[in-house]
Amino acid sequence: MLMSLYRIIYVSRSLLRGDEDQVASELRRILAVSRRNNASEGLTGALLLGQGSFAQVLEGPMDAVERAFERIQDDPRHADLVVVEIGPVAARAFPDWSMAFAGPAAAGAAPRVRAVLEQVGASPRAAAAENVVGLLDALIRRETEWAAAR
Amino acid sequence: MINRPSFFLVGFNDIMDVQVETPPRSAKPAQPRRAPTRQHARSLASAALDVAAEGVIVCDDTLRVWLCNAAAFRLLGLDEPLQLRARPSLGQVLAASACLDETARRSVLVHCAETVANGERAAGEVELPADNRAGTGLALRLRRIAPRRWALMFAPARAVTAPDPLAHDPLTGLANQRRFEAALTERLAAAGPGGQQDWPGVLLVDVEGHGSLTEVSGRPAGDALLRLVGQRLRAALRESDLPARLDDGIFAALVPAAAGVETLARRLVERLARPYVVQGQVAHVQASVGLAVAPRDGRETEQLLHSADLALRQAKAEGSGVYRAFNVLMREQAEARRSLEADLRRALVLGQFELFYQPQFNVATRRVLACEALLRWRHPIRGLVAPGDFISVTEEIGLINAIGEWVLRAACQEAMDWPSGIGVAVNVSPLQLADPDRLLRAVAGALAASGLSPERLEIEITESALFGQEEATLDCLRTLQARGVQISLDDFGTGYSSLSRLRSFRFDRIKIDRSFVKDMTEDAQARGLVRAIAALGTGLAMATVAEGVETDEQARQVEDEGCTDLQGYLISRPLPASEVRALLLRLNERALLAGVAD
Ligand SMILES: Cc1cc2nc3c(=O)[nH]c(=O)nc-3n(C[C@H](O)[C@H](O)[C@H](O)COP(=O)(O)O)c2cc1C
Repeated sequence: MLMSLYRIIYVSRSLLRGDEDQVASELRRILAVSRRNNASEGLTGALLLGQGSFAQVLEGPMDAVERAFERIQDDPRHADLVVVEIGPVAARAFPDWSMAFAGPAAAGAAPRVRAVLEQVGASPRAAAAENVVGLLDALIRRETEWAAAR
Repeated sequence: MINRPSFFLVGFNDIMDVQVETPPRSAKPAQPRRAPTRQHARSLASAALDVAAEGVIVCDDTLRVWLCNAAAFRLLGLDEPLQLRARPSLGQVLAASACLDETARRSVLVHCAETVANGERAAGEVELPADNRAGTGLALRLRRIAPRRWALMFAPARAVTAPDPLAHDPLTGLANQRRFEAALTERLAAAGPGGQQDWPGVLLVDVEGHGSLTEVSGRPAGDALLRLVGQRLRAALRESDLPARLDDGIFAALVPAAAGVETLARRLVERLARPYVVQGQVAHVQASVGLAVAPRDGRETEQLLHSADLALRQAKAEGSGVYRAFNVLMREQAEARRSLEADLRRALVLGQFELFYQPQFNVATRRVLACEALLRWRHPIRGLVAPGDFISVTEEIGLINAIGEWVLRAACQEAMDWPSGIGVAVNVSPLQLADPDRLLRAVAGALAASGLSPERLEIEITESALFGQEEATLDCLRTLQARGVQISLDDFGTGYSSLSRLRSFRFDRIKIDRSFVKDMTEDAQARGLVRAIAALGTGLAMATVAEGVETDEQARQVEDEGCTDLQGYLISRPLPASEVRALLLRLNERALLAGVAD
């Protein structure tokens, strides 16, 4: 059994429709299922919804990453999925999250989100991958701080 | 096998949270001297667990696995030893099972996660995919056995049915060709005259791209990719549809009621083309789909599959990621093509090929310096067929080498009838150049048989012939040139013209494509190109032939731009071999007269 750590980063186009509440409740469903599944598979990661796109980082044992990806690509709630990076990593970027989320609450970050998503199509990919991870990391922090401050 | 007992024991001791000095590792446990100790009791319990018929997996609240008995190994078909010390997740342990497919694995996992989260005990059953050692289903029970410790117990739910190895593709677990065709035949019979059922439809799916993954990352990676393709195919279909793998990258689906097959085909093309993650890397495939529905496209298995296959070919011809439904035109085209192939295979033996010749006129000497040999096929019903209508077919069915050899022999032979200064140019297909040894033999044979001197033979190749295997091709051309044969580059300016190619090989002549000559009287750019190519020829000491010269105006212009030779209707249309000698005498006489008049 291969235990080395792998990480996949992808972006996709969200097909979630409806008003803010409807989108939020669909997202909650995705996150609840993801957290349950990922915990039992040894997966961690983070998910972003911004500018009509998803960006996700998923890390864990190689075969668990592959299986999760195979389910996710089949999900009708998004389309046009592009893998930004896949490969072995030395350490987890989101060890404490079975699936952290950065969503509409982080709206103030829109320009940065847009810039990172735009960069995904361009080369070098490696830089884009690091930027996605950095972006998710920053937004999650912000969100937790925001939640704590309330 | 030898390792397993110690894994169980380690797991068992850990779970009870007791220290163990030395877990017994040998098959014969040391004889206890005193009354049974706790440790001894534990090893008895462990031994008992290992002879139990029921599979037992003990895990904690987070579904980390602590213990796994022998029956669990057997029932799940776990072939590799598990490193239980590393506390693998239940997901990982189940993933190593040879009996569970992804759906079954997920349902066990979800069942356990929910039960543990709710703190309840629960029982359930999972369907297992056909064709596995544990039978068709597993009955599951999950019970809390200690605080934060759970035992997952399972046993075969139904009798083990012998899987039919003749019906399944071992790689994907889908139906194989035999089973697929049998199911289709059954369906067609049920829908036929007096039948009650709907007419079925068939989808043939051709997957390309797994081959390159196999090349780069090895067979296991390619196989894993095909397995995922099989899974996606199954997932995209409805419960009643039958997915199958017929051959390497050929999948199929039998759809019991043909309504909605087009939607299905569209969905398949889209889903199969999404990215895959295989062995830690991203992979892509392209899927083409051909579909046929009964009874319109065939009432019998073979015919329906043939129709679907024709539709698939059409889809592939239109590019990757396309689906096509069969239509009658496809069958007509296929039949026309089949009869063309059959006729072509006979043509050489029946002597239906002949050569026509078109003279090339030298500007400086005002004389014909060579004739280009042009292949014609004289068929009793089809009439005189031009090469554009059959050469590509001869290339596809592997006849081009034999025909090419005939052309070389005939051209050399017929040129022997001409005045001795006049050469003959022969077109050579890229496929002939791809087999340099055979081509060199053919040229040498044609020269020897006819007695033509090599300097009078010119080989015309197109730029596409230089694509791919450049070095081997250039070596072959150099060998020919060293023997005295002239080499020219045909249709220059239309293909992937590259100036570096003109440097890597010294062609004797460049032939400027007719499209530039045709446009040059009206189009300054075309004229500029002709001028540039002619200048290139002068600079590199290569002759330049303007092709397709039809009017005096064009002749004057190409001469003005510096082309050394002309070819086209203005000089003469291509003529049968029997008329060439007279034409050559006439043309050169006229040139002589013109010379006197000057
Ligand atoms: C953008 C997006 C991200 C998702 N991320 C995950 C994930 O990290 N883990 C996961 O198990 N499912 C994820 N899902 C959900 C899967 O697509 C799928 O619905 C789910 O795994 C099915 O689980 P179930 O069979 O337990 O219901 C995601 C879905 C979307 C649309």
